[in-house]
Amino acid sequence: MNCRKASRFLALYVGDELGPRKERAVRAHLESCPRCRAEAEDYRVALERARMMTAAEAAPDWTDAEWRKMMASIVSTPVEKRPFRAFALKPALAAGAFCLVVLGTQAVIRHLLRTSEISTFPARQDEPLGRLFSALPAFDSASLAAVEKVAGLQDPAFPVLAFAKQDVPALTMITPESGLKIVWFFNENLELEE
Amino acid sequence: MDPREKALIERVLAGDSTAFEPLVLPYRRPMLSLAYRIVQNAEDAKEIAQEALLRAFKYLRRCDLERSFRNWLYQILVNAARDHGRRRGLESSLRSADPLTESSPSPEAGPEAAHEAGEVRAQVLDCLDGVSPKEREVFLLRDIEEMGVAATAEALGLSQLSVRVHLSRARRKIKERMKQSYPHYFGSGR
Repeated sequence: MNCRKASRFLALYVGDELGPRKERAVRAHLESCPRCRAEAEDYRVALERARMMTAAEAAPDWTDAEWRKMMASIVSTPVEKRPFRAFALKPALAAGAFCLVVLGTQAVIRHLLRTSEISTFPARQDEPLGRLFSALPAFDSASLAAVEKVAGLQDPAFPVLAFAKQDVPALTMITPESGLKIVWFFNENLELEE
Repeated sequence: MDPREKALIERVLAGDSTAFEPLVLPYRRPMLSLAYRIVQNAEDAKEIAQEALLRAFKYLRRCDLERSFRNWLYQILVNAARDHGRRRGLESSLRSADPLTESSPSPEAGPEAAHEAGEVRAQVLDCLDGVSPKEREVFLLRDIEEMGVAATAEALGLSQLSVRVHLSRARRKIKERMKQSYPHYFGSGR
């Protein structure tokens, strides 16, 4: 370490505020450099003189009466109430957001399942019923009733559209030429039920 | 934090305001001294220390029970002093201060000792005039109040690196000013 570098660290060296490596380097330099040693000594003298001030001075103080009066005034002030902590609401917000995501996902899945049921209907597009289904923008009970009315399928015994009212997943296949109907029922795991 | 202080704080927060005085009583003189050294004016120092105590009581709930209560108090005090400085203009406050008349040496000391103490104080305050307000705060807390670097940084809201930089500058300026104005302190021939 040279004098210039050592000089930068002397102010902290005299107060033991340097890290061990720098302190060793400065100490080694001071052992070989009388000029820097003298400067370090100057720092010590200046610090000592500054500290003398605290020993020599008599700082002002309140009289006991002033102190009591001040304390009475201070403790009559209302203490700040518990500060509002926004992060305390975070778990509740997170739980709410999670529920919304779950419900939303469920609704989307239900909607997709319903539309896929319709799309699996094997009616040909040139058939009247097929055209009606392909023209339906969305599946709902009102449009289903309209379809049934137009197609003359009011008879509850006629099961062409029964799949749409079921609570269990089912797939109905009808051969338009022969009128042969095959219904497959699925359990909750979408496995074919016997 | 000291268990006694912790217990007193909990009592105050529970509504027992009489526990506040024993909590701050050990810091009565140190707070006033520090305020006095920052602003160098007895009346202003009292005002600042009172404001700091008031803020400490009002915002006691914000005090971290894992940290030093003294450091927290000093932090409030320094902030109150800064606010005071901004209100009044620190420079004018420093210029108006007269260390010889402001300081009142202890009555036990004789007139000669009192005069000498006043002189020393006047000289050191003269040297402190050359340092910036932040350097002065760091120097007072670290070298006069003998707080650690970490505690000084915490009290002043600075990083430890920043404290070291300000401290180094303050000591250099004080040493140079002192050497220039009072060379007899530094031995003969230098």
